Amino acid sequence: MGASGAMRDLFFIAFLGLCFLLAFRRPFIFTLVYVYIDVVAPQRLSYFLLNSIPVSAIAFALMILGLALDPAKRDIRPTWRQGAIALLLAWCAYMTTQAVEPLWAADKWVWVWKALLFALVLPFYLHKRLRIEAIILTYVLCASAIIVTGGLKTIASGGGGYGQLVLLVNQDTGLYESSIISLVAIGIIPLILWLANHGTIFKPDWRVKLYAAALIFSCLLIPIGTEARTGLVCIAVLAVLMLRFSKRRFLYLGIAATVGLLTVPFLPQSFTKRMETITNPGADESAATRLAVWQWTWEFVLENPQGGGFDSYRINKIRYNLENSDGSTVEGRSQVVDEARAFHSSYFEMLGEHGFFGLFLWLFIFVGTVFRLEIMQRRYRTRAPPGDEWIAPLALALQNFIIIFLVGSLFVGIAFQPVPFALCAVAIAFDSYVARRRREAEFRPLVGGSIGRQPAGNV
Amino acid sequence: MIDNFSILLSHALLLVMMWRLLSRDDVDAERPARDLREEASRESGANGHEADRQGDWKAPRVRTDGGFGRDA
Repeated sequence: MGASGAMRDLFFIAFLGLCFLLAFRRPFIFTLVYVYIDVVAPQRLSYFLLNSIPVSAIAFALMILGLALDPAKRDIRPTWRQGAIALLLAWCAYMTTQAVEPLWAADKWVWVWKALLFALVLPFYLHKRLRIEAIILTYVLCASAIIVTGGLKTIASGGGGYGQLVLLVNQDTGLYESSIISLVAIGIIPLILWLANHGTIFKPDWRVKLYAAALIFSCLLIPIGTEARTGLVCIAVLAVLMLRFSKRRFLYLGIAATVGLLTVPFLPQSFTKRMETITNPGADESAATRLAVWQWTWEFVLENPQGGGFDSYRINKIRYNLENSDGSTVEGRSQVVDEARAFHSSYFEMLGEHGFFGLFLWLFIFVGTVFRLEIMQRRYRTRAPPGDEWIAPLALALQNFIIIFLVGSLFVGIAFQPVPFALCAVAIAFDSYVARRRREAEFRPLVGGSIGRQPAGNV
Repeated sequence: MIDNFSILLSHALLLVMMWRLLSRDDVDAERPARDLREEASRESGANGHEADRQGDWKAPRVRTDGGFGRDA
C-alpha cells in the first residue's frame, strides 16, 4: 500500500469520524451516514484500514440508536406500502429457505435483506420536510462521487468500452456496475433540478445552479462512458417525461434534436456501434440471450408459481438462434447453447425468483408509489396553498425517477438494488408527511381552543 | 487525480450539508402547519407569488427557511 493509499484511508476515516461526531449532536445525521456508507461504500475504496472495520454494521446500529433518540418520534406514521415491503421481506426470507440453488440464494440474501429492511424503516425517519430534502441531497451527492469521476474520465478518454470505465474502484457491484450507475445517473436528474430550484440547505443561487448544471452534464455522460444501452433508454424516457409540463414543447424538441445530432460526431465509435444493436436485437448475442431466458423463466414459473428463490436462473439451460451479423437469413442461423444466464430484467427476476406473489408485491410498491405521486402532483400543481409550492415539483421529480427505474429495469436485473428501493421509501415518507401536514393545517377545533384537540405532530 | 477530485468535492459538500443541518432546528421540530400556512398567505399576498414549473431555472419566490422554520 503506497503513500497515496494510506492518505486515502486516513481521509475516509477522518471523514467518517467527523460525521459520527456531528451525528451525536443531531441524531438524524446517523441516517445520512448510513446512506453514505451504503452508496459510496468507502470500505471498498479503502486499501486496508476501513476494510477491517464493519463500518456498515456500526452505522446501521447507530442509525437505530438515532431513531431511539429522535425527539419527534410521535410524528412517525406507518403506511400500507411499508407493509408491502415487510411482506416482501418475509416472502424473500421464506423463498431463500426453499431456493433451487440454496448456496447462491443465501449469498444474494446477505445484501437483499439489508436493502429491504432499510427501505422499510427509512420512512420512520423522514417526518420533516428538511429531512426529506437532506436524504435526497445525500443520495445525489453520494452518487455524484461516482458520476463526476465517470463524467470526467469519459471526456478524457471516451470511456473505453462497455464495462471498461473504472468508477473509483474496479468492481462490478452496486452503483459501481455500468447499467446501474447509468440508470441512477439519469434518474436523479429531476431530483438535481428540484434541489437546485427548491433547496433550503444549499439555497438556489448561481453557484448551486452552476454545480447542478455541471452535475447533470456528468450524468448524461455516464451512459456514453459506460456504453450501457440501459442509459440511452433512460435518457429517452427522461426526455419524454420532461416534455410533459413543458410549455414550449416544440422548441424543447427542436433544441434536443439539434443538440443530439451535433453530439453524434463526437461520440466514441464503440458507443454508437453498441447503441445500434438496440434496433437490431437479432444480431446481438446478449439481446437473443435475454429473449431466451425470459421464455425459460415464464415456463419455469408456470410449473413453479412461487418462483425458485434468489438466483434461480442458475439452473437454466437455453438454446437460441443467432442471426448473422449482416442481418441476412439466407446464410442460415447459428445456434447457441448456454446455461446459467441471468434474467436481464427486473420483472423476470422477480417472477423467476419469487413467483407471481413476489412480482405482485414489487409492482404494488413501485407502481403504487407512482400512482400516489401522480395524485399528489395533480393536487398541488395548480392549487398549492402558499408555502407548499415545493410539493408538486418534488412529487414529479420522484415520480420521474421511479418511472425511469421501472423502464430501465426492463432490460437489466436490478430489482433489489438499494438506491431505487430507498428513493421509493423516500417517496412513501413524502406522501405520508404531506398528508399529515395537510390534515394538521385543515384541522379546526369544534369549539374555541378549550375542547378541540390538535392532531399529534404539532410542536 | 480525477478520482481524488471527485471524492474531495462530493465529501466536502456532504460535510457542509451536515454542518448546516446542525443549525437547523426544523430537522427535529416544525412549526404547526396551520400557522405556517397563515404566515405564507400573508407574505404571498404582500409580495406576490410565482407559479413553479419542473425544470424552470427561474426559482419561485420560495422562503429561504423552507417555510417551516427560522433560517440559521
